[in-house]
Amino acid sequence: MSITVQEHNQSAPPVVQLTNLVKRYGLNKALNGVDLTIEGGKVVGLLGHNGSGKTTMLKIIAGLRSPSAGTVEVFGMAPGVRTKQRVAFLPEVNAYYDWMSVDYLIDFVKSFHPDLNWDRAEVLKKFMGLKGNSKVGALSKGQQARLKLVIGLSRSADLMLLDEPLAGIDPPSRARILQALVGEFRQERQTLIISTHEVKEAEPIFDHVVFLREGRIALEGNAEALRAETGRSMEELFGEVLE
Amino acid sequence: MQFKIDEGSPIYRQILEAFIRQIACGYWSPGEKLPSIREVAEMARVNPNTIARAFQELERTGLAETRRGEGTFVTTDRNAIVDCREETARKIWTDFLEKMRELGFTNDEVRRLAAGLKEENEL
Repeated sequence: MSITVQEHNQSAPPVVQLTNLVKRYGLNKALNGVDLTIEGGKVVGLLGHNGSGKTTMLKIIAGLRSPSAGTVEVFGMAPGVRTKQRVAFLPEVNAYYDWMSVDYLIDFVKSFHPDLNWDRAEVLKKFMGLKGNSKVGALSKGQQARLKLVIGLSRSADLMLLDEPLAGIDPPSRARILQALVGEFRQERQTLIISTHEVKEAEPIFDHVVFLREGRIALEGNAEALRAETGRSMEELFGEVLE
Repeated sequence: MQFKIDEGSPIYRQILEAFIRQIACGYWSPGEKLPSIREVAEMARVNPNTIARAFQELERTGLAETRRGEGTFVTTDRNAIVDCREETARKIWTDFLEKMRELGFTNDEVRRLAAGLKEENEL
């Protein structure tokens, strides 16, 4: 199996474009003036402590929240029905029904996301060590996180938004999840945005990193370029920039 | 094949250097097919774009070539591999000498030490 690296169509609009984005919840500003452009074919790490605005930003890109001020464009359009067909959002919180079996759940998701590929789900399920007849409610936290990935990666979304896919999960599950992400990512047509505050293990899979602090971008750039310029890992920069 | 990655310096370079070392020491034979970008990416849990860049640079060294639709292969040019092996050795040797000089050893002392080590190894 070989991969040809294809350049994305340069004339296509960026996958995500945020302009002076503000989101208020009551008196709090979850996002306080964010400008960000994300090009296609990249794995983007959205890095910040809890409460820095990561989830809010992902939800706005997914079209699940609307901004208080500023603009958001996904594939050159305001988030809506047309962008939602191309975007998969994997929330941190588990939204699945405990009484469903793994296979039933996959069928259930396919009923409203027809782009879910059953064969791919089957392969990923095996890779993640999940059994089709297990009840969702009986799975460990790590297994539930794996299941969420199986479902997300079985869809052929052009933009995948993963909110804290590694939080509070055992190290073997984390390794599996990262491996599956790298293995399934199609750089010729996909873009991933992954929020996390656990940088160490995830950082080798990022093309681009965005450090978010108190609703603003504290630093962003190409991960390899930042390593070359600063001699620091993204984990070290996380400590320095977000202190 | 394993990669030990230091996240504090560019990862593509470390992957590139690992492949150069492995080709120099004969872990991959002349003409042998290297794993695909995706296989390496999964194994090392590194972004495939980063691996692709390492492969591009590897081709530039002349140690490997990519055949369209077939994959990346180690060069069959044995001279290129011999050259690479010697260059790698020279780098290690230069590094070593520099460290010995920092410790205050003269070249003569290093030579004597090396001769002594040789006898020890032959025992």
